[in-house]
Amino acid sequence: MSYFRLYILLIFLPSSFLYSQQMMVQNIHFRIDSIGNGEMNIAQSMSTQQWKIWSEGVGKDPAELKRNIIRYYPKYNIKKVETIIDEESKSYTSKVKAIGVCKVNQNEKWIFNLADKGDKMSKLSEREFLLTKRTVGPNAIVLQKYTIVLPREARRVQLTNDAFENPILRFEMRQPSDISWSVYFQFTGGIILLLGGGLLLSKRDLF
Amino acid sequence: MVKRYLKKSKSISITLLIVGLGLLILGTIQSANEDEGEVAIEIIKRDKLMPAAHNVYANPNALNGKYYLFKATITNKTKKSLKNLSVKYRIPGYIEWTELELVGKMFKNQSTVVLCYPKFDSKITEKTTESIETVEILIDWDGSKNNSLKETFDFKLADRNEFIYTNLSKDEISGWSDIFDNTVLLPCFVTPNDPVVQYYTQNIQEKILRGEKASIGKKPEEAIRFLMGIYEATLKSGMVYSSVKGIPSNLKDNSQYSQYNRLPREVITGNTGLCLELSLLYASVLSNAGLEPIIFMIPGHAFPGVIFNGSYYAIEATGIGGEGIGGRMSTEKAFEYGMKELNDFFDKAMIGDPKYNIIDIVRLNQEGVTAMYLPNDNFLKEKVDQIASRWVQKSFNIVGKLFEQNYFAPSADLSFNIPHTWEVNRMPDASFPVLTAQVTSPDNQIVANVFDFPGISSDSIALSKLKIELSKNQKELEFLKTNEDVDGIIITEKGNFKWIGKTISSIHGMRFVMIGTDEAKFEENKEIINELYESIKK
Repeated sequence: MSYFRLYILLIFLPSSFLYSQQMMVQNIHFRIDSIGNGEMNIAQSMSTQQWKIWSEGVGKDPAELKRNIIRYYPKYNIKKVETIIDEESKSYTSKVKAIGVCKVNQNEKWIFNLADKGDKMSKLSEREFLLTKRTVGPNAIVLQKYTIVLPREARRVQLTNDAFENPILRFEMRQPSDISWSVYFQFTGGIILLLGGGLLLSKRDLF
Repeated sequence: MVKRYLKKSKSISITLLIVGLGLLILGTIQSANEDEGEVAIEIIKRDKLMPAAHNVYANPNALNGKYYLFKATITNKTKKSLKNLSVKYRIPGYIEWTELELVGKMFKNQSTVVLCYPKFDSKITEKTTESIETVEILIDWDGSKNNSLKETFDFKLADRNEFIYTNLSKDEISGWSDIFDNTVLLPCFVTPNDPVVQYYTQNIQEKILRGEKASIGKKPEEAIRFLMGIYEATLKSGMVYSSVKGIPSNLKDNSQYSQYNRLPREVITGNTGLCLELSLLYASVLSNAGLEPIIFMIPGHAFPGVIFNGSYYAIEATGIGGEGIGGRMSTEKAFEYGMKELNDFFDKAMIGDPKYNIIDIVRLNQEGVTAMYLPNDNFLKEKVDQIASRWVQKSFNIVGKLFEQNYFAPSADLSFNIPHTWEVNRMPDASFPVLTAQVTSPDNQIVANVFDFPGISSDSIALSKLKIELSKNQKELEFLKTNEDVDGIIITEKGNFKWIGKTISSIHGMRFVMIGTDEAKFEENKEIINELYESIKK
C-alpha cells in the first residue's frame, strides 16, 4: 500500500488512521451462489480512537462507504451495499451483493480468484475456505479474514494456484439442463406415442 | 369380432402416431422459442483519461486494478447456455481490435464481469489537446441464434498536462476523499527517467552540491542537503512562482477539479512553476538521485519533502517567490518554513482530517503508478545548460549592499549573514570530514569555514583535534583563545591564512566557525570579516 488514504480498505478508513501503528481486522463472510454471484458480510469492530475518526468521516456518509467498497472490488459488479452501524459496540456490518464473482473456463470448471500471490488460503470443510489478506501500509497493517462458502452444488473443489501463483478455487457445478421440463415431456411423450402407435400398427399387420 | 378389433386398433395407432408427431413438433417449436431472450450488457465507464497515466490504465495490477477504462457486466438472459463468449474492443485511432476475454461457458442467468485496461502507445504523452474518443465493444458467442452484440460509448482523452483530481461527478462528491480520489496518480507526473530531468539532476549534483552521497549514506543531513540543493538551484536560476488554476480548496467549486500541470522538464526550462508543479519537480529530481520523495497535499497547496530513515523532511518550494510578489526566501528559511508546515500537516492528519494527504512516490511506484514516458530533447538540455551556467556566476558587487538577509545555516544550531552572491559548499572536502561547510566570496579572497566535532564538549579539545587534522595536511594551526572568541593563523607552504572565529557548543558537540583571508590581505578585508563574525548566531 502506498497512499496514506489506502484507498484499499481502508476502504473504510481515512488516511490518518495509518499514522498510528495499528492492526485493523475485518471479518468477511463471502457466500457464493449457484450462478457465480456472491454476498459478502463485512464486519469490523474498532477501538475508541478508530471509531471516532471513522464515524466522523466515511462512517457518516453511506454513499462514500459504498463507493469505497466498489473501488476496492473492481473485479465485481457491486449491486447493493447495506450498512448497519452499531455505535454501542463501535462496529459496523456491510452487506454487499456482488455480481460475477466466479467464471467458467473452457473446461467448464468454475473459478473463484479473489486471492493474490502471497495471500494465505486454507480449507475449512469441503466447501468452506479461509482466505487471509494482509496489507501493510506505512504505519498500519490491515488484515482481512474471508470465510468463503461455495454453494451446495459445488463438487470436486480444488484449492490450487493459477499461472501467476495466485491461490484460486476450482470446482464443478451441475447446472439445470438447457431444455425445459415441458419441452422434455413433449419430446419424450411424442417419442413414446410414436413408438406405441407404430407397435400397435405393426401388431395389427400380424393378424 | 376380429375385424372390429383390427379396425379399432388401426384407428388407435394412427391417433397415437398423430399425437406423438404433434408433440414432437410442439416440442421443437417451443424449444426454438426458448432460444429467445437476450444477452444483456451493463457498462461502467471512465469518462475521462489522462495521457500521463497511460501506464496505470494499462496495468490490471496497478492500484488493485481500480483504473480500468470500462467494466462490462454481461448477463445471459437467454434460456440456454452460451459457449465461447468473446469480448473484444477497439478505440479507433489508438487501439485496434483486441480480445479482452474468452469465457468458456455462460449458464442461464449467469453474469460475468470483464475489465478493460487499454494499452496506449507511449506517444500518447505527446498529446497536447483534449479530444473525444469512441470505444467500440463487440461480444460474440456460440449457442444461440443471435450470437453477437455491439456497444459503443464516448470518453474524453485529456491533453498530457491535465491532471484530473476526481472522475466523480459534482453530484457524487460528498467529501474531500472524493475530490482527491485521483491524487494517487500524481506520481505519473514525477519523471525521474526523463532525460532532461536526469541532466538537470546531474547539474545540481555537480554545480550546486559539489558531490553528494544522500542515497547511499545514512545521515539525514545528506538528504536535507539535497532538498536544500534543489531549492538553491531554483533560486539561483531565478525561477519564479507563477499561479495557474491550482489545487482544490473547497468542495463546491468543481472548476477546481482539474489542473493544468507543467511537466518537471517544462518547469525547469520555463523557469516558473506553482506549488504542485514545483513539488513534482522536486520529487523527480530526488527520485532520480535515489531518494524517497514525498508530496504533502493540503487544501489549496502542496509542498515537497523526503522520507529518510523513517523521518520526514520538507521544504517550501514556492519560497522562491519572485521580485514581483514579495521577494524570495533564503534556502534555510524555506527549509525552516517547510518543516513548520510539516508539523502543522501531521497535527491535522493525526486527528483524521481527510484534506491532509501524503503522496508517497516510491510506494505508489511499487503499486504500478509509474511515470509517463518522455523522449530525449536536446533543445531542452541546452536550456538546462544555460540555466545551470547561472549557478556559478562570479559577479560580485560589494558596494552598498553587502549584507542582505540571507542566512547560512549548516544546521539549526548556527547561522550567520552572508551576501547572496557568495558560494556555499557543504562537505567541500571528503578527505577532511570535520570541515562541514565552506562559504567563499566570489573573488575567493574571504573564506568562512565551519568545523564540526560531534560528541566533543570541550572547545579546547575541539581546537586541538583541528590542529592535529590540519597537521596531517602539512598545515600548522596557531591560535589564541578568549572564552568563545578565537583568532589565529594557519601556516602553509603557499602562504598564511589569518582568521578570527568563534566556538559554539550544542547538544551534538562542538562547532567552530573560522573567517579569514590571506594574511597580506587581512587589513583590506577586515571590515567584511568582522561583519560576518559579528553576525554569527547560535
